[in-house]
Parts: sequence; C-alpha cells; structure tokens
Amino acid sequence: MKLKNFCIAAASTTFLLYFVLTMSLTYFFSGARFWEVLLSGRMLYSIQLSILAATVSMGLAMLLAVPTAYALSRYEFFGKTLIDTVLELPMIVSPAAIGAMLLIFFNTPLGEWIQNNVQQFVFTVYGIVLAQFITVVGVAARMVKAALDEIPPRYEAVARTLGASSFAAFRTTTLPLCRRGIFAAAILTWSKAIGEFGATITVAGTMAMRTETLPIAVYMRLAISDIEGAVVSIIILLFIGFSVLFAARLIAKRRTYA
Amino acid sequence: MLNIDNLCIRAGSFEVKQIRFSVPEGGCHALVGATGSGKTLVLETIAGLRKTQSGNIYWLGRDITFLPPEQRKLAYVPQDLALFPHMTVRENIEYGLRMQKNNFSNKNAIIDKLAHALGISHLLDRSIQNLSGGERQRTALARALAPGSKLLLLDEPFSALHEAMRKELWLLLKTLQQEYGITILIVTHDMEEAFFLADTVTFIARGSVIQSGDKQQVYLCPKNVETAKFFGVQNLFPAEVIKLAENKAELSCPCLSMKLQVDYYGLGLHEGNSVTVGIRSEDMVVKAESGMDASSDQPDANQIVCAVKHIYPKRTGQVLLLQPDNATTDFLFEADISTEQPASISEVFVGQKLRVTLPKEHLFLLSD
Repeated sequence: MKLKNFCIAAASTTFLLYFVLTMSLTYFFSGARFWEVLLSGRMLYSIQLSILAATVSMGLAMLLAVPTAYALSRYEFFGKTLIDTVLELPMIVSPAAIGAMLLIFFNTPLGEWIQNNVQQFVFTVYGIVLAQFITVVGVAARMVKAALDEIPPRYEAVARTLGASSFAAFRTTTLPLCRRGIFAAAILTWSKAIGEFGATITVAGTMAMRTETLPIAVYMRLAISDIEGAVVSIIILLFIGFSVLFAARLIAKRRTYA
Repeated sequence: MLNIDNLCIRAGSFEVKQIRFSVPEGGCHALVGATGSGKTLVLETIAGLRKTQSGNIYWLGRDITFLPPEQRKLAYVPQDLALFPHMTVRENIEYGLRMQKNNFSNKNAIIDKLAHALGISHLLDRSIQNLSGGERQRTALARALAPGSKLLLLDEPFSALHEAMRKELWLLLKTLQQEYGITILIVTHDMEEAFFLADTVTFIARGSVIQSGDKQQVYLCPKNVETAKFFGVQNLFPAEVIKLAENKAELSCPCLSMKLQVDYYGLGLHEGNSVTVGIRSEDMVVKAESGMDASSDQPDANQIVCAVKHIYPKRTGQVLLLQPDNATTDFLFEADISTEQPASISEVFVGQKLRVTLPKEHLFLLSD
C-alpha cells in the first residue's frame, strides 16, 4: 500500500504542477481583452496559419512516416539500425538547433540552388511547414512503427498466399487493423507541429501577418510585454492541443483487433 | 505431384538442408519432427513466404521456386490460423476469391457450398472474435480452399484443439480431400494425426530429412535411434553382434544380460559390430513366471525373467517398468499389458516376477 500511495502522490503532484501553471493564466485573463485579441485579424491569421501549416506538415510527415515505419517494422536491411536511430534526432537535438541546421543547409550550394530554383523557404510560410515537417517526421515514423509492430506480419503472409499482391495485402489487412494507431499518430504529430516554436522561428522569423504562428504569437506578444495578449494565444493553443489529445485518447481507447 | 528437390533454406543461424520428398496428386504427406526441427520453415518456403538457398519446388510439373506467394495458387493454413480479425467469417472466406478475381461472380455459391461442407453456414455473418477454436479452424480451412487451390499446406492446424474436436476435424479434412481432390502437406508432431491423415511421412530433425516413405514402413522400420525414439519406440537396447547366419543375427545384450536372436535383411552387419535393438512396449509378450507352460521352460534367447518395478495406468491397460532379474545394473524397460489383448496375466503387482518374450519378428536393428 505504501508504494501505491507514493505513486498516486507522484501522479497528483504531476497533475498539480500543470494545473497550477494553467490556472496562473487566469491572473492575467481579461474577458473583454480575450474576445478583442481572439477576433483580431492578426490572431485569426495566426490561428489559420498555424492550423494550415500543421495540417500540411503532418500530411507530408505521414506520407513519409508510414512507408518508413513499415520498412523498419517488417524488413531486415542494411542500415536499418542507423535509420532507426536517426529518427530520434528531433528528440535529442533542440528544435532551435534543427532550425539552425536548416538555415545552414540553405546557405550551402545545394540549399541556395533549391531556394533559387525550387522554392524559397527561409522567412516564408514554406519555411514554417519545412521546419515543422523536419521536427515531427521522425516522431511520426516512431509512432506509426509502434502501431505496425502490434499487427502480426502473419496476416499479410496469409493474404499473399490467398492471391493478394504485397501492397494489396498491406492495404487489406495491416492498414485497416492499425488504422486507429496511425490516426492517433497523425493527431499527435499534428499537435506537436502546431506547438512547434524553436525550428519555426529560426527558419521563418517573426513577421506579423506573414510567419506568425500561435507559438510565435505568444513569443512576440511577450516581447512587447502584452501579457494579456500572450495569455489569449496560450489559451487558444491549450484549447487546440487538449482537443486533439482528447480525440486521440478516445480513439486509442476503442477496441483494437491485434 | 508436389516435388521438393534438394531444398536448402537458411533462417538466421539455422539451416535446413537438402530436403527431398514428393507427394502424389490427391495424396496426403506429413512432415513430422520435434519442435525446432525446421518443418515449418519447409512449409513456409513451399508457400513462398521464405526464400530458398538452393533447390527447387515443383507443383503439377511447374517450377514454382521463385514465384511470389500470390502466383503459386496454394492454400496455406498457419498454426495460428491468422484469420483476419476485422472481417466477418464470410469476408474471410471471400478474401481469396476477391484477390484472385477467379469465380468472383460465383462467389456466393462457392462460399455457401464450402460453409455447408464445413458446418459453418450459420456463422457466416459472425465476427471472427466470437468464434470457438473449432469454428476458427473450419473458417480457416474454408478460406484456404475457397479460391480453388488444389494443394493445401497445413501447419499444425489442430494442435490447439481438444481430442474430440481434433478427430472430428481429421474426418472432415479427409472428406474434403476426397470431395475436392486436394493434395495435402501437413506439418505435425502428433503421431496419431500423421497416421490418421497421411499416406506418407517425412521425419525431419535438425534441418535434415532423417527418413521418408510410407507411414507404416517408417513406423515399423525406423532407420535409426532418433527416428525410433520420435515414433515412440520405448525400448532401445545397445548390443553387439556375436554370430551371423542366414539373415539371422545373434546379439549379446549386456543391459538385459541376455542373448537376442534377430532377423535382419540387407544390413551390412559384421560380427563384433555395435548395434541398437529396438522393440515397442506393446510388442512384448508378458506372462506370469508361475503360469508358464512346459514348452516355455525350454531355453529361449529372447525370453527373460523380470521383476515389476513400477506400474502406470494407460487408457487401454497398463505400462510396466521391468528390471531384468539377473541384471547387474538398474536398467529398466517397458512392456504394455493391454486390456484389448487376450489376458495373459490376471493381476500385476510391484515386485512380481514375470517372463517376458521379445518376439524376434518385432525386434529391429538400428544404426546410432
């Protein structure tokens, strides 16, 4: 019982830490100011930009993450351990460092060529998407791999003996069986992307009505001592974040087949 | 005909070497062996789920060694069945028809016929999650057979079922085999299953074929000690050849402290050779020492007086653990007293002296 009490006390302390932090926002909260900031063109742009950039970067990340995770989950190949380790890069390197690495890359001949001939990334919305994509793709692949690992490869093997091609076997057995895991991974990837700050600010800068995502809005308002405005931005971020996490939790709780 | 020719497979550090056997069309062949012997590896390779190192697989005269699984047109039922849990029974059975697009317009008739044959018509719209073990087996068989494959690969499909259900499914499988003209290759470690279903068997140990052939031949004439042990020969006695004459060998058997006379054919035996003599416990003839008739008092090289050391019950009688009366060691061997045989002794008790005959027609010589 002592261990149980200790563990419950630890869990309660963790909750209290976040609860006190969140509740401290109310100290600077003003109802009238909330609606004024929320309905301002600048804030609406930030919300729109944040949702759009996070959605695109999540989509791109999932496009790469699903086959990457499948390869790591199902096949043995040269360099597998190296790729598996590199997926952790965004977790072990600070987002600001990832942003700096992107800036450095765009100052190499290859990066300059891409900037001049393919797409301008630095200080643009495309830079926001790229920074978020780089930050979340490894995590997305890791989460999808965890979902795929839960599904025995035997289903696909049997499907193939029944006449399915390798892709058809994946599409008709593994994919439907782990769709909830992949969906949950997409939601978490999206929420991580929308909250991304370090890499985004390094690559895209802080330009109001251009590259001002919600986390950058918090930073910019704090920089000019607009605490109430920062609080509104934080509340919007919290609302979006908790909504998607709640949705992910609901999905994860549903029955799984594997 | 399914023809496996010198198949070599590698899985990590484990290697399956030069597997050779063939199964005639419409026949049933059992791959038997202990856990980890490589029999499942062979089956998965035939199904196309593993690559070969060398060797070839021929089905109906076509070399299918390098074809992907979906082009082999084989039916495969793995040990865990791998029924698709997100589909109903009907969707599982329909899966192969949908993927192969053959007879798809006729799918309902095929599904209904198979479901009827397997006794699962009432389950077609049920989720896989809600099936019993036997129902899952039947569904897996229906799914495998629906696309019309004529070669059925079964990997210990009935091992998780209780005896009554297992035997019911053996009968069902036999019926399906005849009705649909299927060739079956079954992996099993259950001797009873192998003997019920198969015409021929291949015994695999440590990745190599030890013995292959007609099931009766393999059962009655195991090639070596390992095969004999696997096929349930309990009594294996080390011996030395002391005399050879006209296909008869006289052996000295130190563990029994007796001489044995054995018929042998075609074995390259020489006097002084070390061999192992095997006999099944059910082939021993046991009589009470006091109940012997006059003729049995004659010296007989294959008769020995023993003391009963332990008695174990079995379904159709008793198993006796016997110790030779004149033995200098604690060597024990087994003899069965079956309730199905004419009573030779009325009651057996520990310590009782029995006269045991090892009939020479049931003795066989084995290489180590």
